[in-house]
Amino acid sequence: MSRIKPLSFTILGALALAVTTASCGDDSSSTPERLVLVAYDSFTPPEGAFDAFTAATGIEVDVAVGGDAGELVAKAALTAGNPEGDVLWGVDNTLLSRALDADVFDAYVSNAHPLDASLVAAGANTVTPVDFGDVCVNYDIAGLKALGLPAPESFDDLADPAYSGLLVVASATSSSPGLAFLLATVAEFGDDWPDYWSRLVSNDVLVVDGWSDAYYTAFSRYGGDRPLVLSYASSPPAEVLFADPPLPADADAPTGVVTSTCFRQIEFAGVLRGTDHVAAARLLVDYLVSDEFQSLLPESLFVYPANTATVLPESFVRHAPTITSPLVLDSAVIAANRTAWLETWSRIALP
Amino acid sequence: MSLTVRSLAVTLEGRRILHDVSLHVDTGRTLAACGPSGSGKTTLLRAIAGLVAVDSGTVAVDGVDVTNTPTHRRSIGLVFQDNQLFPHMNVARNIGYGLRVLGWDATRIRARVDELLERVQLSDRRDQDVATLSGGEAKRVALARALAPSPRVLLLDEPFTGLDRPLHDQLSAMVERVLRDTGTTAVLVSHDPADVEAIAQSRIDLPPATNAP
Amino acid sequence: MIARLRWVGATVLVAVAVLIPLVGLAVDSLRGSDITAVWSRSGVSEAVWFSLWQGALSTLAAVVVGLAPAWALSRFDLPGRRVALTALTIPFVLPTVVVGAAFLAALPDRFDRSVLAIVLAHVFFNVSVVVRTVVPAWSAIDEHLLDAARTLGASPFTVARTIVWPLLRPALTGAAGLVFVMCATSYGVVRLLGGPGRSTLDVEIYRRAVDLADVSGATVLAVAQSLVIVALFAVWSRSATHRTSISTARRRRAPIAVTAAVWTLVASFATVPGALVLASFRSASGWSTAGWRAVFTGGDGLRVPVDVGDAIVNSLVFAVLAALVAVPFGVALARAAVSSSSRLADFVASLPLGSSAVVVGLGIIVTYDTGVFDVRGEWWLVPLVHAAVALPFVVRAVIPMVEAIPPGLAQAAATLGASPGRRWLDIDLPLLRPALATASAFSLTMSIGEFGATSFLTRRDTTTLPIVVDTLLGRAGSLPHMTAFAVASVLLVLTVVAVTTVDRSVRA
Repeated sequence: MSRIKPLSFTILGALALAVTTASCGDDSSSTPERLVLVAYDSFTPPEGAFDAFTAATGIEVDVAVGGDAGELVAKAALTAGNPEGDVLWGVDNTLLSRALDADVFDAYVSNAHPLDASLVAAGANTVTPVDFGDVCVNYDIAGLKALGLPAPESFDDLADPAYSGLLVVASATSSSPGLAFLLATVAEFGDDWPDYWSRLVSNDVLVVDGWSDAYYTAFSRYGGDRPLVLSYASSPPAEVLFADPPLPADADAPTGVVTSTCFRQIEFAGVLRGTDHVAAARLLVDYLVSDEFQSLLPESLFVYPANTATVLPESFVRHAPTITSPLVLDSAVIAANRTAWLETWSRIALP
Repeated sequence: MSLTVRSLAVTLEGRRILHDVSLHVDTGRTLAACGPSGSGKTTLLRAIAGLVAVDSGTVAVDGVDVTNTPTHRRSIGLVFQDNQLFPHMNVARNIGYGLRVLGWDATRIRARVDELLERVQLSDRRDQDVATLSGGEAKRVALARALAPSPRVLLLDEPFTGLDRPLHDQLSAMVERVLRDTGTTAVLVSHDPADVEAIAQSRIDLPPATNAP
Repeated sequence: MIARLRWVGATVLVAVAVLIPLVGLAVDSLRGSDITAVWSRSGVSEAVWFSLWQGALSTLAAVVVGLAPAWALSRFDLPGRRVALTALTIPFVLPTVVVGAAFLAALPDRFDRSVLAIVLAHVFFNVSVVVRTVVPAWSAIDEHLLDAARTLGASPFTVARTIVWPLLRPALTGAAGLVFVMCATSYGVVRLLGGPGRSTLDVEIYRRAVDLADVSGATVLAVAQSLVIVALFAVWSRSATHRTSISTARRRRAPIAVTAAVWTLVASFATVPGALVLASFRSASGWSTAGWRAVFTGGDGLRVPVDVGDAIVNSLVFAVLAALVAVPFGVALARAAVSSSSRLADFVASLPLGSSAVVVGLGIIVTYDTGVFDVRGEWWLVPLVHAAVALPFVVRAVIPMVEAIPPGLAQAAATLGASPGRRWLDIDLPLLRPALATASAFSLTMSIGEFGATSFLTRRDTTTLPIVVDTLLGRAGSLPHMTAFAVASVLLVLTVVAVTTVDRSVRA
């Protein structure tokens, strides 16, 4: 009996030690080998985008993608506390409150690099802004020219009979830019926004399911019959960069932007609550807003960097308009009214 | 209902199967068509029934040329070598098929089916699933089915193949009796001389197959 | 014995890939919430109604359009028969997003984004189901049986009505049932070609789960949809099938008119993939091969981030794996369903059909999330889900043929000393060959073209061709646009290769 006791205590003690170290979540004493960055399908930074991070920290970054931004946030909300990765890239200001309500993040706002203050403020002290894009009405220069029309300059122009039947937008109920456009009209017209949409509908606006459908099937540049399409401020540089045959260096972009219709979409990255590697995850977030990584963003994701020190590439400088006063709405306001707005909008804009 | 075939020529898939075949069967009589395998006996029956197109020649029933009449209007019945009973119908419904096609009412059909079941001695098999019939029973159902709509001519293609001798003889006698009792004009294809002897009153012989096109 | 194990295998597959996630999500999201609330929320009842009537209309159209070529391909020795069969199967695999664009381009503007467009697209996708299911069954109807009916006075129409139709009905109703479920639960086609105002229940489920943060509502709808579809299949009388002999009669040569008609149909179907290939050469300013160059060089120097080689390998590997699982499990399940008329087999075989991809995806990440069972992000979830998705089709394709095997053959073999395993190999398997070809073709093509579930599941470094296409179509510029269609063409070619290889090897 007395011989067994010490032995059994030792075994129990060893087990206890093993269990506590195995379940230990605090990693301040150990560096993980890899971190998982969860993002949407179209997150395609160039090869080697994370090499500098790995070189500096010894940590590999696995990018795990699945779905678009909306699906991403839906999944994050369901797995809050037991996440599929360590850091999430791609929650935007229209989706942020859903993520916050579900307590998806472990609050961390990076201050390792200079970031645009207005973007940071939109992050509710929980997430770090990584980029922004402006959703605006684009126009096909050649298409308008063929119709003998000047480029529209305002929301009112879009509802003007002169431009009847020329605009195509994605649905606010099924598309992120579509929703952004709806929010733009809310920001512009306040409570009178439904009237504006009624005017648009009478002006024969075409509402389709998604951005791709609008841009590649209905937009006149790609064989459709509408020279005005809802897209991004970064679409003209994309048209230049991806033109075929390649455009000469001093050519103008074939499409333009109606700058007064732009709505700012801000994207954030955050540390996922429940990750085993909080400190390392924070380092990754810091890296995501570093100049090294941010400079890759414009020509791979076609967004503007949040880092104020990052220099825009030539294609953006030449062909992307600088939107000085985009339309914005507070993320909490969006969250509170979104469902009601969508219902009203559906009744007006959808057949 | 006499049957007259004149100078029938049939080509199938490039090969000349029948070449200038003629025959005549008087009303109520049975003709046997004999010949080695490959001589076109089945094709002859199919041609008479209208199931294959003829190159030249005529088929006439009671003097009326039916060569260009579609099969379903010729009123020429055929008992197939492998019976071809409809698998989704029981015995009674198989036998009554031709009558339903004619639009008879249910009572008449029932009476006629019963009559035929009696004739082929299958009255107790009325509702049976045809898949469960023995070889001899299936043959009798096929015969009854073909006879039900009182065809003007009945064709029988090697009706007793694969049956054992006692059953063969039994059926052979039954067929002869039924044909005689109903006064049906028939053409019987067989290679068995005993059948020819027992059932037919006349015979023709088809020449063996040639390889000529 | 082995067959029984594989029966269990199919059940485990469906449980792991579909049932457990569904239950897991239901438990997780329905805790404390009101199950009845979602039915009165806006858009839901409209979506249910639209699913039903549009599904029925599309099914009718698909069956009507598919019957004629099915007849021609069963009864005649058509020149190019196998090519025609392959061509009619291809549509099934094409990713909706790409077909949608081709359709919108082909249709006159008036019909863009309308119910007509939806029905046409559904016909396009589902004629293959009708043809591939009906042809083996129709081919088994002995021509001589029809001759017998004719000698009994039946006109061609009466023959069709009284002989062909009853014998064809099991296969036809099976195909129709399947097509109905596919059309009623259609997602991509309805979204793209119906425009934003039209939703089937599947679209509504997605909206609730993702756009409206109403996961519990979505789960209720998804569970209800699954239950209804499973009940539909269970109640659907697999009408007592009749053992026809497997017809070994040689087919007649087809009359010119029939050949011409079939090939006209095939050609009209080919316009859609044709438009697809054409689009891969068209930039905003003219014709170009840049899209194809991007495909072959992996986008280097053209700044289009596309690793097509990787995607091709993944798509093929997943397809083969999915087929290796789905076909044997499906065949075993089909045999179990036929021999025991077990309801459980119907349940297992039909559950994946009615399940919304997004709900299953959410279920997977919510259920398989602890300790050793945390398999979220694992690459093999993708082919597993593909196999589950293909299983119902394998079963449906094989059942009519299994039912048509005369038991007498197996018994004959037994009297000659063949063991059950031997009998299966020597008798059943060769007779099942045409159905196995269909089953394998379905399985491969469904996996290659699967998008919804694959894109939703979180993946590390495992991209597939349809996802690459979708990503590229999400970018502005001529190059991504052309490259997307080039990749879609590659997808098309792979499907043709997969289907023809399977057909050939099984027929060998």
